Amino acid sequence: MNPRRVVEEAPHSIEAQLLRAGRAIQPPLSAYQKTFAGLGGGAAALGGAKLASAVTAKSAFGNLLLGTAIKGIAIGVVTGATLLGLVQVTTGRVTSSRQSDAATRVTTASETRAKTVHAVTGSKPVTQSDESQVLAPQPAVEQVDGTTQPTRSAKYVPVSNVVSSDVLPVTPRLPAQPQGSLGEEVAALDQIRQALDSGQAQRALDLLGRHSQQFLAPRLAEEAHFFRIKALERLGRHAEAEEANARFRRNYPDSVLPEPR
Amino acid sequence: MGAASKLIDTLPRYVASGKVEQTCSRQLDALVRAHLPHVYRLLRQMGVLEQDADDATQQVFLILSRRLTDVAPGRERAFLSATAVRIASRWRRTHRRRREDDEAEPVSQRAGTDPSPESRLEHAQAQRLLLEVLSTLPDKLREVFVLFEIEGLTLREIAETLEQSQGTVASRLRLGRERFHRTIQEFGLADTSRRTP
Repeated sequence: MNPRRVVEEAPHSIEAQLLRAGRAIQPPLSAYQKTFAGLGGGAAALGGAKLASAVTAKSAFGNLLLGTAIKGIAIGVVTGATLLGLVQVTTGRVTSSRQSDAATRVTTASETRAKTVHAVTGSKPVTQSDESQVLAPQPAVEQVDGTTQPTRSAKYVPVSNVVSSDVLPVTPRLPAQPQGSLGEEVAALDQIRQALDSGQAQRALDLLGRHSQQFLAPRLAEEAHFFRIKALERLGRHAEAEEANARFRRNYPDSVLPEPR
Repeated sequence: MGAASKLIDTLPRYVASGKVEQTCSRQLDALVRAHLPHVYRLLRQMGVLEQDADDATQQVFLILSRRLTDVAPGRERAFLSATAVRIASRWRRTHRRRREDDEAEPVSQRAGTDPSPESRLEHAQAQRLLLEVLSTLPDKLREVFVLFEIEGLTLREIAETLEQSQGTVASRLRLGRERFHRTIQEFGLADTSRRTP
């Protein structure tokens, strides 16, 4: 049984007046704009031409970019480019002109998100330009599965420091490495979650392995790490799960995900 | 060969992911339109300053976008409330040294520029006063008080949102009301039209 609310119990009291004023607090337009920009959509709702063009560009460009990126990867495979850095540079060259437009398109959302993270956690924001400079991951950063996969917060070094310019000419600023869209990553993680839900922990681990190969700079690394702990735990690999859990807590101290174990 | 077959495996996923993205995007758009005012209000009442409230609101919806597949249909509001409470709590920890009166553009001043006159100004002042009174409540009491008295959630919904027992929520609500009433008295605003809780 719910008690009566103050505004019903004593509608003319000072308290009720204050509470009614609280109910009337309205978000400014900027809250909608920032949120939609961060999510990469919602322009129609706002009627903002700027946002509308960004979203239109997103759908048109997303398909174009994906198609081109696949071509680039195919070229890399056919030519037998086995070094990861080489594949990155090859695909980067094929898609460079279109990617630079795409990079411009996502900058706003990325910067906004970085600003948010900065505002909420007080940490240094990571901007798109930070990510653009980074092409070679620094393997020393703690990884989910011990691979050399970079994370959003990882430190990077420019490719020129890793690949000798004698072997492979490198432009000073290459576009960010191509990888799947956020929707694609969501779909990949959804498969992992379904595997876990259906008791297929080993399959979930396999899918996580594929995820780390497919998304070299995953935007959902935190969730992937979370699922890995669950999968290890369910496979009875408690020591590894424990270790992964400790890494998770270190890497994501402010995580809003529940305790995975 | 392995790499080639992997590429072939990947292609259908590229196609499928476009649909996933579009569906998620439409769903998110609808959720933002429906729940952003609630999230924004909750964040403000839980202590997030006006200048940071836009960013905090965005952060709440970004988390929703990442967890969308885990949220059962119809449970979005509860998920958003719980996330907003956690984000606000984290924000308060980070900005503990800052005070509400540090706001660059206080509500009352912003309302002063509005063409609609006294009533708006009074309303804005009431909002500011409310936030000041709420800021004196301990966090746990404040969460329950705001969710019940302002956001209109039931005790059961609050218990689910905060993952507390209903008894605990009821008890915190009672204490929150007492503190709220007492603070208003201390501010010299008490009236006699309402009985003491």
